[in-house]
Amino acid sequence: MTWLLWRQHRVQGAISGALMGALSILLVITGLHMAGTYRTAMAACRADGTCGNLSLFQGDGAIINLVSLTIVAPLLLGVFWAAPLIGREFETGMHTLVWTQSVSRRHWLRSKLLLLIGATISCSAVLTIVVTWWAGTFNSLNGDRFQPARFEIQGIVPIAYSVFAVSLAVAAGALFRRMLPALAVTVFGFAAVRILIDNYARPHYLHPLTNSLRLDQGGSIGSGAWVTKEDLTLNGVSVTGAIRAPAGCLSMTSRATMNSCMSDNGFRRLTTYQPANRYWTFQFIESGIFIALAALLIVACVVIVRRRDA
Amino acid sequence: MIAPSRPGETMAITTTQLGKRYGTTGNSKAKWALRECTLDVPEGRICGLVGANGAGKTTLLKLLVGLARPSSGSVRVLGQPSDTPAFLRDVGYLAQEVPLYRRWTAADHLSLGANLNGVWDGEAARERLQSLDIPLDQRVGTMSGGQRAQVALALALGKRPRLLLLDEPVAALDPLARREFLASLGAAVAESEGGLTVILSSHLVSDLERICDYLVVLAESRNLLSGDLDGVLASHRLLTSARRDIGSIEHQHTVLRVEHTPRQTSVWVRLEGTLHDPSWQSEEMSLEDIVLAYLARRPVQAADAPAAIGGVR
Repeated sequence: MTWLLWRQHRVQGAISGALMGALSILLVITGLHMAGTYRTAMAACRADGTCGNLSLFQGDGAIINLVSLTIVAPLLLGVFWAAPLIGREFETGMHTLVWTQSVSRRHWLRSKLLLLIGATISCSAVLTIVVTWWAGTFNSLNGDRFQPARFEIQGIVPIAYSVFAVSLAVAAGALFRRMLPALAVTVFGFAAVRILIDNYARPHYLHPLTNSLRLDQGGSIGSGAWVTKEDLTLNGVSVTGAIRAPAGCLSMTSRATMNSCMSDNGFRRLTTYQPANRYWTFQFIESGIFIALAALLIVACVVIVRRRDA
Repeated sequence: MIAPSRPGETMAITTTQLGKRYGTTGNSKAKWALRECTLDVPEGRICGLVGANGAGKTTLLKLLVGLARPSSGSVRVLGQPSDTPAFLRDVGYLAQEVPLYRRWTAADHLSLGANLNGVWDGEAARERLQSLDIPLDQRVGTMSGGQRAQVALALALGKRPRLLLLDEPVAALDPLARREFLASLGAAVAESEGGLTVILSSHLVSDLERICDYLVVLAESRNLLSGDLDGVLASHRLLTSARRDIGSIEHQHTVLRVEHTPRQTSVWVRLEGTLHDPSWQSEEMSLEDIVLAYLARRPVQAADAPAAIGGVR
């Protein structure tokens, strides 16, 4: 089986390796450059107090876009590696050739799946390590790591997304035995699950913390926290609709004194948030969900291939 | 009587009431692709599997090689049930579509055989292809249909099978390529000195007549006839006489087809013993006529076919 896997997938492997290598080199070069520029700029702007607007290097917009685009890497692995792995064998009838050599169907399937999952984990691990390292400078410059465009391409979740995407694609290939429907299910299925989890599951992994502050006080929830909601409350009750400021406060001349006055009359700002130190907990929970879904799909794939007639 | 086999022969294949239904159980649309198929093929034979399109030939071969699982009945291949993967070592199979990796060379396919089989005779496979002037380093996608079929045959024979199952391998080939393919097959059988059993499905009876010594006829998903080719030829007759009632013939023998003209009665018949009535003029039937007589039987008559088979075996 090793020979067959090598012969069938060596071109895919070489192309993927070359792309990964090129991307890694690009990110390492720009990452080092960015870190250097950042250090120099911070030193300079601290001296003259102009740290508001840092441009890190020429053309950084393209590199930032490229890094953001790694959000589709799991889908690419699903489409180019996993869907054809079994789906194309069925579509071209090649499974009947391989299944009538002396290797059992079970052994064939196990070898293919091990290669797929192994290559997927390696590839996405390299990618996420490089991206997370590259984004280190960027993160320290711009706020929280829970933002969708960062949470989903850094840390360990990209590996879990990739394992899920390839499991979905390989199971779809086994079920439909044709490439086109398998690809459609992979793309739409992956997108649907990701969007549902992003919007409806992730904010609820852990019960959020709340912080009620006077309007004239600064935030004290710590930097890097994920603010999910901000409310204005009056005596502990959320204010909806038009705000009716106390008559005495309306005559205040500055915003600061007005805030102070409002706070004296019972107005508070209620922040609902996930603190920054929950970042890795969230990464693990989200990864666990996707790995569990992937495991179900792999089991389904094995059952379909072993039960169904050729 | 047609003797299904010579005494003392061991069976390469035995099926008992074998059936295959596609679609889920209990679904009214589920269709039997093969039903109540009971047959034996002795070792060392070249068995032709004949039947119209959709008669169940492909299904039977897939059941024999374990690519499909029976819905009913059982299969034994080379003495082993076909749900144990171990028997695969001894079975070569060539599917109807002649599946090969189009971008691979012939040599790549032989490497596949060498790597996926414990027993592998690569030298013989290479010699086989070289003797046919098939370039080993050419991509099979650029080869002719005949050459591809030869590569697939070499791959199937490379594992030194004791049973070779070929599903319409010559159907898509031109007459010359077809003859070459059958010649290769004949040579392989001769080399094996009785150690190789072949089952070859086709709807080209003339090809089968040239190479086979055993025959199985399938129609309407059922097995209508199986037996030694000489026996089959010896036991089928076209009887003609002046117009008359055929009751006495029907009583003793199996009537496949009757035609009455105002003056003459013709009966295509399988003899189940000696023909006593000398008033019938008896003619031998060609294999083609025999097969056609079975395939053309009315569905009403086909329904009682299993009983007729009981008489054959």
